[in-house]
Amino acid sequence: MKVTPTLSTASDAVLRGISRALGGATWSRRSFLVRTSLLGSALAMDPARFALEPRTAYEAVCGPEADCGGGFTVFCCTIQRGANVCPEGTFVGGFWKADRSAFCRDAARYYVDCNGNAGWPWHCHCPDTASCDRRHVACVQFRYGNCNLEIPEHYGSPVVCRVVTCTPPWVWDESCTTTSFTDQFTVDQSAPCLPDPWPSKIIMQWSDLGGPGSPLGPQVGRVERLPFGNGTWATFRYGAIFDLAWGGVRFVEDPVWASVRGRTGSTPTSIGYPLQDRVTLHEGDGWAQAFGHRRGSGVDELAVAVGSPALGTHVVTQPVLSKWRALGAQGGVLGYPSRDTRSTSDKTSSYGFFSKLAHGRLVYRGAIYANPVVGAHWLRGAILERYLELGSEAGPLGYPASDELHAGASGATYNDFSVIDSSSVVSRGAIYSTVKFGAQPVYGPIYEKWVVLGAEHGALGFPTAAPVATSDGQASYERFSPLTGAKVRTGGGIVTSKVFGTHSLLGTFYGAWRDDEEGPRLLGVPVADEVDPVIGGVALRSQQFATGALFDSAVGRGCVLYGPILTTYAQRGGPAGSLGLPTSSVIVEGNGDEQATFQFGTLTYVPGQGVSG
Amino acid sequence: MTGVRRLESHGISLLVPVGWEARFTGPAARLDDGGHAQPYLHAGNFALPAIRAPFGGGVVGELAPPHVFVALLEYAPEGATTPLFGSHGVPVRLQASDFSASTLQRSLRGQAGFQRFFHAADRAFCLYVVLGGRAAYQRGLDDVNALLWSTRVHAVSVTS
Amino acid sequence: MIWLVIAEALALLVLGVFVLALVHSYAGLVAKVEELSDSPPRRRVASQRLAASRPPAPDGPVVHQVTGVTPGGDGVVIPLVGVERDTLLAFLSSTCTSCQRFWSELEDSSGEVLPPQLRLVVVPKGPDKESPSAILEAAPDACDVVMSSEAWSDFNVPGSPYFVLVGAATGTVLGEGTALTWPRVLDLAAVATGDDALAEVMRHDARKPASDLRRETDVDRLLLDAGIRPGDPSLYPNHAPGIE
Repeated sequence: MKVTPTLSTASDAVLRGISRALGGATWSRRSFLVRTSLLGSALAMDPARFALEPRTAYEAVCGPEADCGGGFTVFCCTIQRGANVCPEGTFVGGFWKADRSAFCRDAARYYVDCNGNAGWPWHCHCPDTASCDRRHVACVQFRYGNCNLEIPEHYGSPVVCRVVTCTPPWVWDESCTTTSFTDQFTVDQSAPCLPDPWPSKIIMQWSDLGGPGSPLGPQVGRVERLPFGNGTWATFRYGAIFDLAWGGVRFVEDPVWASVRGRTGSTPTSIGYPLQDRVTLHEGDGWAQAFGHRRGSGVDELAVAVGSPALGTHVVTQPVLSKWRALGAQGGVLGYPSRDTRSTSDKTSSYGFFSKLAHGRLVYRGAIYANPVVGAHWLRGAILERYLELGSEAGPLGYPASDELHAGASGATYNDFSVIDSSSVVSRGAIYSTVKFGAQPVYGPIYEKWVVLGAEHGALGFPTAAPVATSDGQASYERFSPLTGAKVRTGGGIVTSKVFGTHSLLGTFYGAWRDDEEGPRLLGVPVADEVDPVIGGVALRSQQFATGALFDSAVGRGCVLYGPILTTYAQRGGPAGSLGLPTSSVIVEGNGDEQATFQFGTLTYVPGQGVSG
Repeated sequence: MTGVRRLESHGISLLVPVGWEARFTGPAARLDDGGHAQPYLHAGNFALPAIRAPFGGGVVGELAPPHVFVALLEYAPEGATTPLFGSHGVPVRLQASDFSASTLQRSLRGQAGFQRFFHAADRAFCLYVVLGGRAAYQRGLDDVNALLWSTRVHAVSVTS
Repeated sequence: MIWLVIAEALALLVLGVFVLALVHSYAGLVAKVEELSDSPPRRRVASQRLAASRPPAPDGPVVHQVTGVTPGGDGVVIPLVGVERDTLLAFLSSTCTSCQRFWSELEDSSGEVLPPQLRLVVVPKGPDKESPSAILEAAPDACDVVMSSEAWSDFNVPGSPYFVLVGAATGTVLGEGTALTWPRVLDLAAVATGDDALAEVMRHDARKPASDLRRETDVDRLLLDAGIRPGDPSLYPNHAPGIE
């Protein structure tokens, strides 16, 4: 057979295929094209049966016996303005199928009878329609008997109309059994409100869902190619259907569609395409639909649209999504998303918010922060609320650097945090949550000092409040306490200043310093940690401050020395010197003189005259 | 040779009246789409077309007034305990008043139909009878009742 | 010496008579083969052939029905008496060489090899003597097939292919015999029923072979898969220059 290349390459490929189908028969192209044009116009309905005379397009759409006297029942879409669903007041009474239907791309087509409910005023009549589908309405009392077996026979109801699908009825209606009857004599029957022969898979899916009567509503956009040849798609009033070359046909309907509209696609910022149909989530009566794209022989899940009646539908994207799934997703510790995943203010990371509900009430909020340096971590409840109060990732704590952890047997929980700068950790911190003290942060130099001292297991214990600045603003300090209460040398605080560094104040020393800080301010900030020598058999606690010193021993409790007396005491050797241990603080006399006593002497300061003793 | 013959298949036996044709189609089989076909019996006092649909497609359109078409269709056995198949035993002694012009899978002028779902021997069935016209009411109905009266259903083992 | 000559002459005479008998018999066979060809038979001779094709059937009860199973194994009863049309029973097998042409013509014609006045029922032997799967493969769906060894016995069928025409009203055998093609079977049936028009009906009713139907189905499917739907301009040669 000679072929002149006057058509497209695709058509030539078709021609070669046709030549093979004809078994190399000596037909000229003209002859078989003419035959095919005649045959095709009449054969599109049923490739297995041929009409030698072309039928009109109108006749071809409705098929044979489409008049009211033909004995068959009308299609539901004809009497329901296109909606291919059983009308209100009917139930699915049964179905049959016709194999190799052109309307289902050569697969089986299922005809489903909608039988009238008892008490509904169905009456036999010919439909008032301009369509060629003029088959009767509610004229036969008949059941195929393979659906709704719980409805007894004496129910007796007419077949009001027929729904057609390319999906087996038992797949979309659990009341239908798989008992199937085949009637090829109905394979040509159709209506203008149903898809044409050989429809696209998208239109086929839409029609199966009910066409304009489906949750997707009427079609608003043509079937178009997706970018990069991935497949095709079409939009509808309440959703979209995708036919993916690698993933099959998937539909997205509201409320998921409303949450992802404009975000599907193959660009770096899009969430790809639906990987599955929407699924029902048993926890909280929610729903979810995953989105992504193909990668190699598998698929990458980029996002999931998750919803619940209480919180609505929100999109969770990677890498937050992977962490949320690892935690058990909506059934896990964080529950359903309460917001879409967003970028942090510095654009380096992403975060998502979640709400854990019980019996419809909020138990706590949760969050996942995903940072490329410290990874993805979750936090919740009081710790999360404290973190947000402090400015979240833009605050002094930075990004969560650990999941919620338990602090031993204490019942306390905590999260670690890190401040990131130029992809490096520059500062660390934590928030500890205890029943006694609530959720309290500790960060920066105070945090580092506290960790060196054993953190919550050390003498200081747990943070009891957030850091505060000293009255002169030159330093900040934070108070700590064990859960069982502070003692002489447990609990306390840590003070940090740029000039004098970071030092701890244990037990009563912290109290003494705090009293001085809020009072006469004689001591200043600590310039060293406490030292605990034994002098002459007496245990001494002493600590140096910027402008004073604290001494505590059995011979003198909480002695505060400062000014010239402290200087002279130091010059004479301090506690190891001739004066011995202080037995009193510096006392200011009524005349302005200052005096302090020691084990082995007294020092008196007279303004203008110096120190004697 | 006697005029009446016993026909038996798929655990169902019946006497075929003189001049009647009867055919079983089966067995139960799983289909490509996941559905299940079940066996059925067709009988008539005329030549049954070789290609027929279970409920008479391809047949009822060709019925003449004296013709009677009988279809006995089996369903999955789980249906035997459901309300739809609540009636017990093969229907017998059908009368003209049991038939209606609206009880038809395809309503054609002059025809009347009878449909009954029932269970027997823990199996689920539907009996569907179509009278081609008034001429079928007398002799045809007698033959139908003779056929139904002779029908025996036996329990069968369930195969998947 | 003379006795030798006489003996030779007698031998020659006997031989000559023997040769003549052989030639006569051969001529009869040739005539029979010619009658079985497509050339129209002479009616009187054909009826004699129908009647003489096998020994006369013994007097016995009318066969009321054919009972057996379909190739799929399902029970079936087909009545022969008191029905609307004469029934032509075609006793075929899956293995006989002469039957192959009948099977293939049935396939090509989708089972429609007889005019509507006759009902065709193909009757292979039962599953005890014939392969159901072979019959299933050979017989088209639109053909009535009843596998029944009982029917072979009822009609004293000598072998296949063999045909019996049964009268609709009483079940009387109107004619029976063998043939090599369906048109020839029709000719015989026309003679048996006295209905000359019978054979002419099928001659003028040329059906499209099923193989052509299948090819056209495949072509249409290829076009539709390529998106070339009815009315596509590429289907019309007037709009496609350069076509051979």
